[in-house]
Amino acid sequence: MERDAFLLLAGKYKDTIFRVALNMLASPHEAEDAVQEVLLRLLERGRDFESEEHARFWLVRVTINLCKNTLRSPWRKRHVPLTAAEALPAFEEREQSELYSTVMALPEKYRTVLYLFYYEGYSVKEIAKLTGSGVSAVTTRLSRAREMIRSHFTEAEVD
Amino acid sequence: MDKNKYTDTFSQLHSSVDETALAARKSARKRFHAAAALIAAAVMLLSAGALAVYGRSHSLRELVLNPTPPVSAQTEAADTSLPEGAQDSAAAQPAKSVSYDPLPEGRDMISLQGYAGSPEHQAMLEWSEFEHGYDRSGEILLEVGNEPTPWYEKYCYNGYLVYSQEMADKLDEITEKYSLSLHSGGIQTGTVTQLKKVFGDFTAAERWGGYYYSDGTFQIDASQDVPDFGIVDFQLRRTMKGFFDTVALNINDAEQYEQWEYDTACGVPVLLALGPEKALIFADLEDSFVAVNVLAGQATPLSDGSGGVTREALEALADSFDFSIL
Repeated sequence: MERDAFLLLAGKYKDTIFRVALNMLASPHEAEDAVQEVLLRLLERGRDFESEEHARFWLVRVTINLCKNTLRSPWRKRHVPLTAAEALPAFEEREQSELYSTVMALPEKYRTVLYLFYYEGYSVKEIAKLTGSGVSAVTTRLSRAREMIRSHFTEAEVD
Repeated sequence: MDKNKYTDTFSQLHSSVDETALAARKSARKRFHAAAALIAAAVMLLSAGALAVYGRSHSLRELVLNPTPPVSAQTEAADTSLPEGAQDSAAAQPAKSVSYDPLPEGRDMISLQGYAGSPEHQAMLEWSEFEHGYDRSGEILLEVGNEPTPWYEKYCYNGYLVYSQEMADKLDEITEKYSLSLHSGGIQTGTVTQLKKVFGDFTAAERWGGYYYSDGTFQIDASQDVPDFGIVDFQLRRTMKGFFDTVALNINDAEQYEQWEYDTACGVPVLLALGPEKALIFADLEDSFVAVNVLAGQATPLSDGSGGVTREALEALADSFDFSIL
């Protein structure tokens, strides 16, 4: 890929890559590694994208697949307790820190669909294609994730 | 859940990766590789028929290696009788009657080692032409019979069908010419799951099995449920670059295939080809060449009885492989 086109896409979407990876891996350090790897693949790509939406879809899909491989890695399974202890990002408001902690406490499959749906604005069908899951599985995960977050905050209020 | 709260929270997360530094680092590496590529390209262009140009798209035609029968062989082909004294032997051992007729038009054999211009493809092309014109009457093979030969250990055990010194010499000549190594050490067999332990989680398939060489070349026969489509049976072969491999595939008529390039989910671009009875996936990787032979095409039902392979199904199957770890 041409340098200028790369810099344009990388600058615009590196945060998207980082957030997708962070939601999947729950480790800022590993998410940064994923950003580097995905951007290198972008740089090595020989052909242009049909559109910017195509580029964004490609970047998210490559990120998801890369993170899936990381999650499956036997090396990671042995070391994850150390990386999971990484510091909580600094948020402007306490409420945001709580929401972040609650979301990150969900299992990975719920975090990822939540992010793609709420933040990136992908439809259920597009998320199914991005994650290699069925449409019904994505719908169920979204619904359960919302329920889990709702019940967490309801319980917190009661306490 | 409040969508605004969610987006406000996650919008505060940023990557610290410096894309400018990444591009600069890559450019330095690219300049080195470009110099090497230029030298390699010059060498390749000097070789007869070298066609590959770095970075351009490929086609199925670049894999076809139908040998052209030599003039003397074409004349011999009209005479299908066995050599004198061989008839009795052949009658006693009918399994040794070997046909060496040229392939009829529309039956294309393809290389699974690399595209035209690569040393692996050129080597396979030369071997294929030699083999096709060699011992066309089957006389030498009949003499050898089924007894172990002096060439068995080095060649046959590792997949090369060599049964004479002349063949062994030719094989050595070709590998030396293209600086390729022979497979060695014999093959190891295993289930798909066992092979995935050796080569990584490159496929979602779990069923059936395959074999591999110690150099990393391997083949699996597998079966996989492609979401929203059905059960697909396929063969996947990874051939390591730098090694001489002689496995070819009959695809019938290459002109009958619809072809397109596709970016797989793992980020590796592949060539997809969809024909009436077969569907194919090719990935030209840094260290190896991967070919997937789907045992069904547009006009053939899958093993579970569902309809033929579609473009979408072939793309979904391609997405299910992780070519980036092969």
